[in-house]
Amino acid sequence: MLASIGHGLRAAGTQRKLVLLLWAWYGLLSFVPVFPAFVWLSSGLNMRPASATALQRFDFGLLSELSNYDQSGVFGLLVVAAMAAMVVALVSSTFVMGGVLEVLGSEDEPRMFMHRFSRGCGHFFWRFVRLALIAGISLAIVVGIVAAAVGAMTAPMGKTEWEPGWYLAGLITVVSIAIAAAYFLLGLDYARIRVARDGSRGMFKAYVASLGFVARHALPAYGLGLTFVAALAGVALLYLAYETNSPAAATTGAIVLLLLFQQIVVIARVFARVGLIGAERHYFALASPAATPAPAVVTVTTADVPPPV
Amino acid sequence: MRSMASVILFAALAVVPAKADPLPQKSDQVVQYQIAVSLDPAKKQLQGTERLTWRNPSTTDTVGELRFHLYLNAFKNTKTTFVKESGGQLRGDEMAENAWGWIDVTSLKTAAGADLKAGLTFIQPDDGNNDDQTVASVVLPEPVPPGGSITLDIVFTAQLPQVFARTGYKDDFFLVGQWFPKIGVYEPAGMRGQTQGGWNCHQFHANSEFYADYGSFRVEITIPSNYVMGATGVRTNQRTNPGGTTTYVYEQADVHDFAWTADPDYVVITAKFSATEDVSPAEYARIAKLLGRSLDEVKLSDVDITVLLQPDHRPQAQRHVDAAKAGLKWFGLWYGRYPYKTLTVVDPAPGGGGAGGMEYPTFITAGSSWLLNYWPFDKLHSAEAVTIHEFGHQFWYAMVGNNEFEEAWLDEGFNTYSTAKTMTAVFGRDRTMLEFLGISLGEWDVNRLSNSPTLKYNRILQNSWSYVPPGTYGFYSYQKPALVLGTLEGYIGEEMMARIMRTYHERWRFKHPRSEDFFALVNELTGQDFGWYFDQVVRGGDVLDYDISSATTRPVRADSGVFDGPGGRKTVSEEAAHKQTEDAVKAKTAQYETSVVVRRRGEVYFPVTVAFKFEGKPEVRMTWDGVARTNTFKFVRPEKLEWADVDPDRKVLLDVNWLNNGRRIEDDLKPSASWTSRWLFLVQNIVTTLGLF
Ligand SMILES: [Zn+2]
Repeated sequence: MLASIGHGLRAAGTQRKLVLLLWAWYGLLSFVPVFPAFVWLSSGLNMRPASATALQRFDFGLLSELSNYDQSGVFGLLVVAAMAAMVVALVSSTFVMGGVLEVLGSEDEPRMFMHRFSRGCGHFFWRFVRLALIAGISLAIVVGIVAAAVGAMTAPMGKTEWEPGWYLAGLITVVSIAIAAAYFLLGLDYARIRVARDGSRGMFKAYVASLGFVARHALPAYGLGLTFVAALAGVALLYLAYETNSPAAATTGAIVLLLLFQQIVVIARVFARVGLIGAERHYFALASPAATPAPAVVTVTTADVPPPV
Repeated sequence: MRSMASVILFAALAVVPAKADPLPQKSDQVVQYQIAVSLDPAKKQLQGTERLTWRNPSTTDTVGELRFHLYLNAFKNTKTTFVKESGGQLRGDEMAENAWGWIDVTSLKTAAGADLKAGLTFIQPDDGNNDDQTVASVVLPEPVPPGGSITLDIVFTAQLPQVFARTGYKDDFFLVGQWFPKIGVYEPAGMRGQTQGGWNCHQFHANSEFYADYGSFRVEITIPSNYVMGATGVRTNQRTNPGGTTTYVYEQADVHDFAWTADPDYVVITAKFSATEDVSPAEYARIAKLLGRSLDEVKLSDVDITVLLQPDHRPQAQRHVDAAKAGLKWFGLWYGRYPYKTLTVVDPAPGGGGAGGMEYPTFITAGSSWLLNYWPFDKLHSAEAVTIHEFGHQFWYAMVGNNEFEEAWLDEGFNTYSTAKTMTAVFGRDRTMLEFLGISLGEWDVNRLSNSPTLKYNRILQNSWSYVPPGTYGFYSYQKPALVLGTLEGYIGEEMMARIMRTYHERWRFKHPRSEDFFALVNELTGQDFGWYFDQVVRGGDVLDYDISSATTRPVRADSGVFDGPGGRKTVSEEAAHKQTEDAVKAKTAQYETSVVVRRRGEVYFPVTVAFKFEGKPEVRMTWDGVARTNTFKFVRPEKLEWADVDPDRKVLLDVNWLNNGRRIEDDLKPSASWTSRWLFLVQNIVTTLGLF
């Protein structure tokens, strides 16, 4: 596991271009809901005199006045824009993952980066869409079942006089859901790695095989994922420490510094995610060596339509 | 108006004896209750006997009828006024199924032995709902003469509901409030503005609390010996009975209600509020100066505090003690010392939250949760806010006994205002509710945020149960009155406001004021007539909102055209005039004309201060009576205007929208950039997570 983590981190370190590309693309996408927010906030805040407290503290009262008495008329757009960005991000996820895997599989050709990335994106796109759909549907069904079952099991705890039990009941439900959801998400990760390596065309089969793989190697599979979550938590804590202890973003310099710090955090997130995929690839290669060298000819079932490329 | 005010002042001086301590020591005791009650914890039932002595407070009326509140009947079935109005829901709590509550008077006799039970009938003075049994009336065989008394012996059985609307049980937790047959208030002509004497005894409504006369209570409570209990007043005796029960005796004078609680699980925390240790000499001196009183007058007295805590909330013991002490200290300093010897703070059992956040004389219920033990929830000051608010009712309602049915704002609103001031004294302004990760929220924010331009169809001064929709009762009884008092304070100043509140409390301690009494006192102490204000914001329902509708500043233009002068006729072309203006700007000799239009957007008018900031100069402040719809401020000065701001110190808390109060000439992008960067960060994190699933 440690070797895989080291390998993943090295891979992410080598593919700096990849990390920066993903950061830039999603940063750009974020402007869809951020731009109207800026218009909205500007319309309310820019004309306010210096006596405004907006810069000293994050003021709930002011925020709610901004939404209640919106002059720009774009406040209503914010939610729609945010939803749109999230949907695009989800679709884009299936797209870029092909590129990520393709690039990670070619550490020796950094000059051909853009070429390999776009080839991977296009090459795997439809297969990854199908994989994502299969994973998404199974995840939704199983999470629903787990939530209902665990919720019913812990319900009596919420009715006792032992107050911590109420919260414990909620916590148990949430943790069970998280474990179940993580199972299907890890399955998705390994299924994509399997498809990229073996060139499989049967997505359902690939997904089931990967779920089996995660179940057989639960400890390292979850372990790698948890390491990644822990790294994110660490970054989040660092940011919160900065946010609480830094001077209020009241001068242009302080705002720029804050922006800079935020972007470092986002880049760190992307880096960690690429690192995780690298680590998972490495682990998968160790634990489940390819039966036949890629590209393999795999049985095409009737349910699987070949990609239109 | 001044002559009028001095007449009132003179009259007031004649009434209040010029003693060192203007705080009344005792109430005019109209009622006297001696109750013996036993709890059946399995059936959740009370068996009680009550000896009630009532004195006719009128000097002229002979009273031939008595009226009683039988509050627990509000929970008897789905036909009661309370359940119909509330839909079986109050403050987010659902009424439990098959857990009804009721009270039966099984015997009613005069001390002389005359049986009145047969004549006891239910009446519905508020809504004529014949199925409501929360008020009962009995015609006396012999009327009570003016100043005379009557003693009644009552036997009752009460079924407690599962905790809902302040009272009831949850497993083995009991909070017993509104539980005994309680006589209404007979108001003689002249009292609270009544033109003729009569009973004030309202039905129990979803949106309303209580009203009662002062007197003394002696209550013997018998419960299983393994229960821990607390009650209004001082425990004067206790004895163990055969059969595993214990009888506790509690007594208290100068109160108008009595509540008690029992739960085997309580952890008992005791503490002492020390008048010498919990208040520093400097604090005494500061408040005495603020109020213009002697140090003796503001001196507090010691109080025994008992917190009955749920075992799971043990880490919060000190928080409750500190909050109780903060209440005893600041309410005591500002309005007059707490006169009772004890204060009991009850932490309701989990699932019994419906009993939390309630006030009874010397006895309050808190509101907390196990989560508040731990970070980051321990940063929420909600537990303190509840305890301080409920403690505040010792001053507003318990001691200044307004009619909550008819003028709820006199206690809830005064108390919301006082709680915000106390929370500010303890935690600092703008962060009284929450201060965490640079996000903060203050009591005044909370009060202001509940306001809205659409809240204008009800008034502060109306019966509690008459609000449409009923949910607006809260805004008009709590938040809006707090904003009304806060705005008044901003206008007349902290010192004058503090003296008004102090005097109002002193004059009406152990009495029953109405809104007019407060208005008259404001006029008397300020020497001004504030009728225009109270008419608009207490008797009326309109909205207050001022804004700057436009602000311009530009160089004074040189004139062009044909001019006749001593040197003959001269023509100045437009270009020449334009150039002259530009040259003056370049040479920094230009004058600027500034025009700022301040606008009254709401119907309510209120005098406002407008601040103008000219480049490189200190702020200029001007006032406007705020009556016209607009007022244009014009200046010709050598500096450009930077910004203008209505009510720059944000003292007009009733102003529904502060966002439109100020106007800059040139945009400042920093605040929106700073806030947008945080939004960008949040969105980026979400999008990046989803985009790399
Ligand atoms: Zn209250």
